[in-house]
Amino acid sequence: MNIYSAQVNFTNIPNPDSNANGNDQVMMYITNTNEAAGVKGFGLPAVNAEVDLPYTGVNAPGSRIEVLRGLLLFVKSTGEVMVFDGLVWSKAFEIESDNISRFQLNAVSTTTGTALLPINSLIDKPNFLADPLKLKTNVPTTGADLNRLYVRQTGLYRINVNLNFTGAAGSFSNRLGASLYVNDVKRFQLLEETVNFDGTNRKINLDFSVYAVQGQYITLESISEVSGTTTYNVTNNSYVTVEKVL
Amino acid sequence: MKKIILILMVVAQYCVNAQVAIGGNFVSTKNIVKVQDGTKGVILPFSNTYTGFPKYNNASPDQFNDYPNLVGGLIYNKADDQYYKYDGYAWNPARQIQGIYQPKGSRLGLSSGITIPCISFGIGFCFAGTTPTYLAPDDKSQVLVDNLGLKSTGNVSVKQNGIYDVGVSLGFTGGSFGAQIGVTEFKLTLQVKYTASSDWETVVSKTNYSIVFIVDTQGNKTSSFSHTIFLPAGAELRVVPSISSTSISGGALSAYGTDSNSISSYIAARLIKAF
Repeated sequence: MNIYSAQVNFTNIPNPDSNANGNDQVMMYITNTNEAAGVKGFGLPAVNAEVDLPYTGVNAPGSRIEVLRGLLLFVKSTGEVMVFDGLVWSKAFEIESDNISRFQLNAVSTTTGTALLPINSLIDKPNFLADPLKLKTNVPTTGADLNRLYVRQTGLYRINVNLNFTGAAGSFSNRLGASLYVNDVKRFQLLEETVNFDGTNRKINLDFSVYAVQGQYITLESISEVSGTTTYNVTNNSYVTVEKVL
Repeated sequence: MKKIILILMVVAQYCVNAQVAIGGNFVSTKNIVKVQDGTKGVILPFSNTYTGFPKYNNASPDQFNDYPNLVGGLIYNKADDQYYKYDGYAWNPARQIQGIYQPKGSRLGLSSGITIPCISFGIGFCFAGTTPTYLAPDDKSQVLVDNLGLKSTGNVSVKQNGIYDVGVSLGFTGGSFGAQIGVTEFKLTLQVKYTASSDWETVVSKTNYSIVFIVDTQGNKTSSFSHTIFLPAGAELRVVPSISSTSISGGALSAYGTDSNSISSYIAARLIKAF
């Protein structure tokens, strides 16, 4: 049965979307009309265990199955709803917030005192590199997108920048830091006093607090105090950690 | 078309107070709709990106219009391959707790700004005689919520002993050091008054740094940082802004102001661990 452009209403409310000019925002309502008479739910199809999910194990697809993106199944043994992105299954909903993404930076060099930081999208959970905030999911790994973190939820973020600088011995500025851009507009520049711990290395570790809106992207840049060293390297022993605070 | 209308009418009739089973004859009185168990799943509507979500409005502070009738809505976003849920204010990733309902966090907007007058002795300094007040009303569309109950009469104070992550941000507006070439630093200092009778103590002072050239002497800078600190119940928080310039000023100095926009100016706290 094909029903095109339909709005299906599984309630006895004639028009639950009564504030709208017609049912133009909701395709299907499954709504309780009277909680006192007993709440009824929407029963997703279920499998007994995760191994029963389709397209897993030896049946895992080699390329994305486009038409199955968003497929939902409930797993009885774990009590979790799983979602299929066309390649792999993951939890569709979380009870507790899984709210910290952490990325390693690619090494970068500069002769001008500033360098946009290339953010590697590699997920390596044993080494604490993960992206539950989906900041780099489906983001190209080349060009300008290599430097970008895409905000998926409006809110308040804490962004920790941990940079390892190397350069010529004795030539470093005492103050090094990072700039934070939102949609290519500079929002902050934080400077930290640094310690020259072996003559050629300095580290900074700083935290920004930033309010960002869904759809915006954040880029980061290393900076050196004016009149200080302009030639240095940022090594790949550098990381950015993003925590969704609110 | 007539057939479709007829089918719709039949479905609509059947759906009133019905339990609908899809895929088999296993109606349960506990479900409105039940889809047959097995290895075939359910796909809900998708959008290629968030701008196609219902109630998208780029002019809204959180990108979406408020709309109570859509609460509980689900939609799949192909841009980042996850479901989003609508909470009456905005669409949020289903894997995340919505910011406005995070029980251990607050974000307070600026309710009363200040002016920051400047003086010059060849180089410029701007010091605030008072501090900005962060007691703006809650606004869920701007993710301004006080779930920790920090807002008190006339001040911001914590209500529970614990380790907190405190984030502060302040936008500077207006102001000028006149024509100059050099460096201007916009500083924010977080201070705590641990008890009602104690003095204010500086916890941390951070420098937001501006490489200032002649074309960049105006304000509209934002300074921000985040810091972890133990705070006892009753401790008051405040933010002290200041501005200094090491550049040679060739023009008149004018006072800076503070930006009341909640994107730029706020104090936020997250309770990491209560004691």
